[in-house]
Amino acid sequence: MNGMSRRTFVGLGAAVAAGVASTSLTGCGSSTAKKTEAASANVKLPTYVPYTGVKPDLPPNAKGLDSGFLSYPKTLVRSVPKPPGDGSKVTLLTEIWTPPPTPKDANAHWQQLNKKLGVDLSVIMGTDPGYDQKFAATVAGNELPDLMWIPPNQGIQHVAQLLEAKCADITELVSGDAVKAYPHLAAMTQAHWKTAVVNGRIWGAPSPYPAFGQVYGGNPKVWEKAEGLSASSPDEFLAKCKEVTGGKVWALEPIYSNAVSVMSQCFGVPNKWERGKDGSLTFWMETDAYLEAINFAIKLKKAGVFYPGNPDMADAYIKMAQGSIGACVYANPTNARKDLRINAPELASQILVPFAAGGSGGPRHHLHRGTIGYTAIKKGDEKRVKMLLSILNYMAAPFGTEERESQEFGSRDLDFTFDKSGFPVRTAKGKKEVEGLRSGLETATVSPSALIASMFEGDARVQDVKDVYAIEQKLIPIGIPDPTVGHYSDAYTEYYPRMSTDAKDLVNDIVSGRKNIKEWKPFWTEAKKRGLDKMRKEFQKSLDKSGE
Amino acid sequence: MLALMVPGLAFFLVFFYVPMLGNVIAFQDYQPFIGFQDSPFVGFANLQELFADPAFWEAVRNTLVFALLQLLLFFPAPLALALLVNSLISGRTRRFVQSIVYLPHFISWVLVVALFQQVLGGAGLLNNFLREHGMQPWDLMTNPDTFPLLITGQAIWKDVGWGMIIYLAALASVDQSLYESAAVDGAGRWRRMWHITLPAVRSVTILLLVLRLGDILSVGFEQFLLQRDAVGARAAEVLDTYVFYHGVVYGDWGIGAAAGLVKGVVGALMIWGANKVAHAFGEQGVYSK
Repeated sequence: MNGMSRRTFVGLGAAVAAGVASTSLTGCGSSTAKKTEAASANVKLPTYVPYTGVKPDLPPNAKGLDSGFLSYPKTLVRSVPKPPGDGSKVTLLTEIWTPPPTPKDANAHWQQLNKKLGVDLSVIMGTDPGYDQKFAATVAGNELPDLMWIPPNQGIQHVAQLLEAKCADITELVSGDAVKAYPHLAAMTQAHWKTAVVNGRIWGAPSPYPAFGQVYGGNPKVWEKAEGLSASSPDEFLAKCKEVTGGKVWALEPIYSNAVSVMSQCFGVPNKWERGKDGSLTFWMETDAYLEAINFAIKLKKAGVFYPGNPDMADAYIKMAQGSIGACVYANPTNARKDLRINAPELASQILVPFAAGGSGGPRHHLHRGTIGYTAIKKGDEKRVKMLLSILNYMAAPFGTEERESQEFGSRDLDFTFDKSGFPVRTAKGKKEVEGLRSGLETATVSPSALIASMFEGDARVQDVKDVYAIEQKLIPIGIPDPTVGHYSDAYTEYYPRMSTDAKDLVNDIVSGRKNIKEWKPFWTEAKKRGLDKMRKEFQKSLDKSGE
Repeated sequence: MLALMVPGLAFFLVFFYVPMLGNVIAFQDYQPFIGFQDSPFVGFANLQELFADPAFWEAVRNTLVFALLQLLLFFPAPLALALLVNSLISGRTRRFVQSIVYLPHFISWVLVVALFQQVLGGAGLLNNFLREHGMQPWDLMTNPDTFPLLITGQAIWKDVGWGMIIYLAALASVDQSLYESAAVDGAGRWRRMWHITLPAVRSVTILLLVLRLGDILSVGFEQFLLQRDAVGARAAEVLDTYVFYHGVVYGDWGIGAAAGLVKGVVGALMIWGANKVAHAFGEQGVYSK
């Protein structure tokens, strides 16, 4: 996926990032609360039919390994035979992560795309932060958009009521084999679809995102001194950090909450929640292993290997490209490689594979939920809902199809040209007209993530795909999912934003030495009373019901 | 004639008084999706919860400390600078200095904080210099103890020139012949300042003081939001960031509004009190009796 805001999705990975909330509703009437508990249980998810029209160079696997494409195909496959639209007006509410595109009236690419879609598509573009406010304001107005992207992490509340009152229940249209009418939507896995299930029904097309989670990505020049960004024990990691720190270079960015979150993977901390043998749930920050991870971060801090800056500094990635920071936390390995290539094209970022830091769990990798939400459809007659589903199907066309190229790059020679190795590169016009619109469309829905050479800038794209693919192969054996993905808890929406901000503040205070680590455990004893136990109970009930 | 007032009245009505009705959410368990009408009323529960929250009182304490420091250090600064600039004889130099000291006002807080970070931060100019010369680095930007001075310093750097304008205007209106006759009578420069200059700016000063007092709990927002993580919430949370975190980030709109309301009520009381003081000085204040 191109152009996602880096910081946001780092935040998404770390449950501790500020202000992340979740889907569904907050403290409202008990009738809806009861309904939500049914959650994803008992709905027949769409059948998974992988798209076989374009063959990848590096094969995916069922465990979540991405497919890899090393070249840009000479001939593209036409995967949607005729324009899916009926000539009507369609509005889409979504978020963009780039500068906004030229407005539709002056945007030749947009008009061209509308012809291909067969509709007059208007896009209401939210930004980050602030999407929740844009969403609330748009929905509160009388004109509900036809398609609405609903993220699980931006504090949008009362989603369940909104869906029930104003959105189309598409369960019948996509459940089981019915989804085959929309082949690109059928290519999404059931794990993807789970995101779009609320109150036991399916409400929209998922927005896939890489399924790998947070990692340290490093500047190879900095780590050269210490034989690369890798380690087999905390002591070795600490020693390497000390070795590369000196002069105007520091080993790690000072975003302590992310540092602890990534290090916690080495200490075997669960991915957000862990389900015990008896079915009980433990929150990751309550565990002793998490405490050890904080302790290790304190050690790193005392050794002076964190860059001396603000723990929410916004330019850490730039500083890393310039070589004054050794490693930063990225949302996933792909972003780590992609981002450094943008800021310093000659540098291939190295990725730290979690090492064993003792303890029982061994190293783990916290997988991402694999989507950034879903796009719901406004209630309407079945014909219209089906038409809108076909539009979403078009938007989810995978790499190697004509539909994908026309959305991602626009028209040949006008919006993009091919570079010497045959990869498309946007022209100045393409940057203005295509980039922003594509960003909004791919937020709404996109084909499942894949490693595609044209995603990376610079001349070493093929190597980038192979490297990230290799890293993913190393992460898969230690990867663990968050067991509560696809389950809903009212208490989670209500209490989690505050709990996570307070926890992040406390981690910052403890690691920077303003508070004592002894305050950590009592904080979580207190948190139990302030909603943690309630979330636990609700998730547990939902998990029990679904038999997971 | 009265009809000419309509646009002005409408402006205040639509953009000030009608939105004030929104404060009703301080007494509701408000959710934007449901709206004012359907959100349940909870009476004073939000205020109770607010007053029971230690973080609120920390925010109040910080706000008061910053406000007091700003009043003591920041408030007199523009006057002092105005006197200094006013004493420049060359018109050209004066205009040049004026332009330079205004400029920072137009720089956003993001940039001001970044500039301070570049100079005083852990990897900034000062500390790189200290490190290179074998001295202990001294990170001012992440030290919660010196934070109140730091933010007051930033505020002065940014806005002292802007605040000076109004005093300069008052000084420009002083009749020059007063100085001449005072000089003829043998008054030195300090006497002239005491008997002519300062009385000339007194009413402006008091007016500004009253306005400042009414607004005293608004010590700033972006400045604190940007530096909150660097020194921790305990040192940097002020009422406005408290409202932001509770209202917007945590989704407790009711509590956020309640905190904003408390701030508004205190501000109104301060204006009323300060105006009394102004009257006691024989000045007009914001409104006369």
